[in-house]
Amino acid sequence: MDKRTNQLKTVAYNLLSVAIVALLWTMFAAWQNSPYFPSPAEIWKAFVGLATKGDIEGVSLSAHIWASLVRIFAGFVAACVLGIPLGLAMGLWPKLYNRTRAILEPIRFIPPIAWIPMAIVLLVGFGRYVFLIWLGAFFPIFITTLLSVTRVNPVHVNVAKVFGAKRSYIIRKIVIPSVLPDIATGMRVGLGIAWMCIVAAEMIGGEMVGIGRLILKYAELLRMGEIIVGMLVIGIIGFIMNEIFIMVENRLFRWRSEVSID
Amino acid sequence: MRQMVSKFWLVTALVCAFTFTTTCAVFAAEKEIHFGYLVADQLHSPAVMIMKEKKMLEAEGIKVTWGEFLAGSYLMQHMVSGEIDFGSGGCVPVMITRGQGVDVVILASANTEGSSIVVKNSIQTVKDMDGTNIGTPGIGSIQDAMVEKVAKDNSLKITRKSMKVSDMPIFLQKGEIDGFIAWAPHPARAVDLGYGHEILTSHDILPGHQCCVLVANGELLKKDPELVRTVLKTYLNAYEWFLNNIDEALAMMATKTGMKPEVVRNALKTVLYPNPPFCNVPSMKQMAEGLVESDKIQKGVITNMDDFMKDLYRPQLLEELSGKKQ
Repeated sequence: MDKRTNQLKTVAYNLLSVAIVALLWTMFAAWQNSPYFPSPAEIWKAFVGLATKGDIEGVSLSAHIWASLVRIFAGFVAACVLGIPLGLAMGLWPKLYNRTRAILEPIRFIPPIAWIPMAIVLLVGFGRYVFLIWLGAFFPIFITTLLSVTRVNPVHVNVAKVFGAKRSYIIRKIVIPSVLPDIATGMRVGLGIAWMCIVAAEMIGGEMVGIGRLILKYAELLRMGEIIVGMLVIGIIGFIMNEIFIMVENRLFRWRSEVSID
Repeated sequence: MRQMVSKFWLVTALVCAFTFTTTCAVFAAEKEIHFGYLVADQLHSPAVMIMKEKKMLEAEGIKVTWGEFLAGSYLMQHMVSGEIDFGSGGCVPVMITRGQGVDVVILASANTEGSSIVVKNSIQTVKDMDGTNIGTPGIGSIQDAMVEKVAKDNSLKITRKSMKVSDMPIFLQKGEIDGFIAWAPHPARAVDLGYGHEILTSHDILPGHQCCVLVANGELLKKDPELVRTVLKTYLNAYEWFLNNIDEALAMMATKTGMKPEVVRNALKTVLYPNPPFCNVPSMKQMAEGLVESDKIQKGVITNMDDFMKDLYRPQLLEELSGKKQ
């Protein structure tokens, strides 16, 4: 069986699993017969309503998606920009990490939601969302980068040293290429957490757009169909982004045989 | 010796039997309820605050678990899940919940009026509110419906932004919103802090409008009407106590909200407490019509407004206990 057939088979199985879940869902919804457990058909109807007419305040579904995407992108980029260099620096100079871990480690355990009251007082609008998403995404990226540096194969480093390579050469030609796949994994984890933070960040209020806000709006009206549409939109966009990430990882790091996430 | 042992066992058996029967009697008499109220809502639901503080329900042999919620819609979500049996919150979220087919019933009023719109100082007239951002406690709240009404009545374009009532003064101070609407005492607090001024009270928007209500799970009313009756009776006693001891209640409200007594006293001026606490049905009908119009209650759910109100608001128990007719 060639690679293409295998891929088609995987897609077919995934579609089949979606169909089975939808069928089970329909059966369970029919058995429950409750407005709080809408059937897939009712969820589809809610989706069509949101996509064509917008939400209760007339804001379109695409505007909600776009607002959340921009916030996530900004928070995630900020997390990468700070997390990767800091992780690399602390991995290369472990003393730096050891002497600051009393600050870094406790912060890691404070959930982004606990920062909300401070974020309300100290930050404004867009910056507040970016901060909360950054908090969620930063630590997985930073920690993965930090740990990956310590796991660089010492044989490679020692061979380079034997041949008289300088530290800067070792960093550029051995350390960074070795840690890139791990950083990519950390970025994927960070992206997932960024999506998890969006509902918490958008819960603060002060804006009428964002998928988190859409979910909360309909939660106030007890309309489960629209709530589930919001949840599914988050799940599907997250899934698509993850798949794109995996494709890029597979292409960029083809040289590393153990990179086989799918 | 044998006689002593027999006596010992006899006494032990008697003690055990006594303990068992009294424990059973206590547990049989004690009923348990879950009661929800809104955070910093003491001015709108003083009777609930007093029932809680003075342990009045416990004195009636009812074990209470109290739950605090950010807004009426969250309280109603917990009522839907069956986690809360009784609650005190805005009538709008209750109507929305009933509009979703959930069996919730209003037993009595908690207050009428009592909300205000506070705006930044540069806004001087209602017309100046055109193109502004106004904070509200959420689209499922009575306050949100009020801002919607102001915009409609005055042909204004107002963007409503949902947020926690306690955060509203901060958002206003930081210029993220141009004003906000909230239940007392939050508007008075923002005015006291110098963040803005009161431009409209809910009296100006819809005079005598129903605000917070005492709500119960409809299933519970069918299953155990005696329990509901006891809770309502206790509620009415607490309501009466409040009306007769305003100063003591005010001190309690200041402690609970963490606000200065003079701020609470000023805020109290915007709130009305009809006695007996019958609901203002015409204003509730008007609000329900607005909810249908804005699709917050889906069109087609209410085929007859009078029937909807009859199912929602049950003043019979209140009439019986107060000896007065609605």
